[in-house]
Amino acid sequence: MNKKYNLKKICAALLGIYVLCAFLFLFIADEQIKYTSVEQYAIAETPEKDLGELTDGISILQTFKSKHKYLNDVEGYFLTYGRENSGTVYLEVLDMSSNEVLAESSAAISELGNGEWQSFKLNKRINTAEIENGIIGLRFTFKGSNEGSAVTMTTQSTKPDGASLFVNGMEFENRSLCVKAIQSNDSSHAIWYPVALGIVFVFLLLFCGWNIRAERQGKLTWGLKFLYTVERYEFLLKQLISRDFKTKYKRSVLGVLWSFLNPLLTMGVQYVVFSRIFRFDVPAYPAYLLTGVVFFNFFTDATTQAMNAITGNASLITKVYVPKYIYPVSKVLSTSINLLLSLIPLFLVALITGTKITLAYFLIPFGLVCFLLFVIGISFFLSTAMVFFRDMQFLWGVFTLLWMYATPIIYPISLIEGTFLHPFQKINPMYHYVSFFRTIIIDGISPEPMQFILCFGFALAALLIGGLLFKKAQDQFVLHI
Amino acid sequence: MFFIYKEVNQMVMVKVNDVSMRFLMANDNITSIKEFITAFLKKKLKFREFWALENVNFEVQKGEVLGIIGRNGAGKSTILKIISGILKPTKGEVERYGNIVPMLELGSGFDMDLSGKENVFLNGAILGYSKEFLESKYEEILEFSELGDFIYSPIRNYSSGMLVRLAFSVATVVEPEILIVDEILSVGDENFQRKSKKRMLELMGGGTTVLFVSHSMEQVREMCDHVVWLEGGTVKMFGPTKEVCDAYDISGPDGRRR
Repeated sequence: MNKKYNLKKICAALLGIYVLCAFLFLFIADEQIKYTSVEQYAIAETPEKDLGELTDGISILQTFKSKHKYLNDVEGYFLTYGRENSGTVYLEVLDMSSNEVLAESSAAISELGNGEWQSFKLNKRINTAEIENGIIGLRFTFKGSNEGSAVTMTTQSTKPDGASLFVNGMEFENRSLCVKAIQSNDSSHAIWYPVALGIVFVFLLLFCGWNIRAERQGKLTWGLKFLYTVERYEFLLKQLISRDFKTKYKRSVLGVLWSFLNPLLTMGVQYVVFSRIFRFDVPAYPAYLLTGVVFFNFFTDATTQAMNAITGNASLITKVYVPKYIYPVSKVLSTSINLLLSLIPLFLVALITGTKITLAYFLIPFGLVCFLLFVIGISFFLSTAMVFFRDMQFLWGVFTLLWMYATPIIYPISLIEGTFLHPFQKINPMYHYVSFFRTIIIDGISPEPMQFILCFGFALAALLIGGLLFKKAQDQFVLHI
Repeated sequence: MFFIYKEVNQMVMVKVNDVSMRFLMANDNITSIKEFITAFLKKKLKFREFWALENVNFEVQKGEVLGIIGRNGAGKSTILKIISGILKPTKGEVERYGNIVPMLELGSGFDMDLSGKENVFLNGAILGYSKEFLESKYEEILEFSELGDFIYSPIRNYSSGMLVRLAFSVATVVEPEILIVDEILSVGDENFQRKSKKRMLELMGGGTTVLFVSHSMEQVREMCDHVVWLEGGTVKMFGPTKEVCDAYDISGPDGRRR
């Protein structure tokens, strides 16, 4: 057998790509690795009594003892009297022992919602361990609002540790302002990420060395076997993919444009229905919706196509020997070309709704690869099941519909809090994949390390289970199709 | 499949070792969960064993044309499928020392929406050829198939004769090491039949090993060096063409088992 590939080059490329990805991950996800996820500390939560109209010049100071190491953001509860107000509210975070201003933020009063929590993003992360006693003051100062155009804040009769409330310097006994501190801690396993990545690197290095040695000795490892197979069937795979892609839009006037139009139109319809009629309150809703639609549509499309891959190619399978996994894999890959094309309108919509393109976008390929592997795993299972039970094609259509409504695609996750659907999301792979992409595309930050592990884990599990099932059943296929 | 090339005996291309094939035939063709469950509950899920092949042994030398003859249901197609790796034998094994190319039946592996040229590459890929190889042979395939400019139009517009010429060209122009032919020589117009026959003879002379299944004793006598006579799943006779064919002809219709 003549070899076209160079094993050493492939190994070098593999290691190079791995090192690049590892550094990219450590660099972009720096924040998510160093700190734990956010901890909400509500100083007071239930609005019982309001403070009256807060007009120009009024300042409110609420002190509290920090519960966690870092203070990231602050949220305050406002009432607008249901009218248009004007002015600005400034927030200063004070070190109470030295009266030093640690961080600032502000919000336009006209944009505050009635009976809503308003988030104040601080200009820097405050390390409360450096503050004596950890007592922090939050000072809200109101500017430019008069009677009739002012908002109010609320209090609750509670007094947590270190809390006291002053309005214009006058103390309110036993009452606290309704504010929440958004805090975080140092991640205790931050050091383990580089270590784990390093260990995997050593394993990869050993694996490459082992394969190179085996090749020199003329032995066959599964790694080499995989390479031979890829080499042998690469051209066939390409041909099958290009066939699927060419025939998909053949004889349609707009052709490949449908790859862009389809998700956009679906999103358009759902956007009108769910933001005008049901009014979900989600920031950047079009981008939120389109991310869900694009990835879930791909999932439905690819699995439905791949399900028929074995039965649809019956005439070939009974006549030529080709590894049968080629058929479902080629279907998933040809649908993934569509996915890549529909990412373009997704990015456009994200840009239009005002999200910024950040470095975190470099993490999208990782999610895509995991998602593809996950879909291939599911496709192995489905195409096997389809050979033995043709009912699958009808069941699966209903099942994906059910799955879509059970996943927060069109509605925010807060909508299902407290129902049985909420705990289900923990084990719902589609939820994790979609929120992985949403974090990157809408928030512009890296998902948390746990999300990476989950995405990879679901892909591996699906691939293993689906692959083993397929492998076990494939010799029977020819007898049943 | 991954073929390991053993250098035991260069002359043997295919060795069939004690191959048996058992089919389990369900009483009904159960293809839905509902049917399966009802059959299972009624305990009707019985299988009938059917041995399509039993202890079949033979080997094919390099460059040889081996004919496989036998009456309907003797297991000819089954043994071809086992040799090409489509079916896994229940017992025994097949050793192969070269790449195997089946002659595809009319239209299988062709996509009706693609052009003839695209189908040449798709079909060639399915048959296991590389891109470079197909590109270098493309002109030859086009010329042999006599399709001319039709090669660029979708094959859904082709006549059946055009289709079979294309299939034959892809399968044979590229000189496989082991070619499997299952009764498809008599297609096309008279001219093409003659041409394809000539092509087959050329292939056989050119060192290609051919496994040839046919009901036409005339063709078998003309083309084959050795013949395997299958009957009821077992080898009734294996030897030089003349001996086996004479015996087969004498056995006549009385030799029918079912």
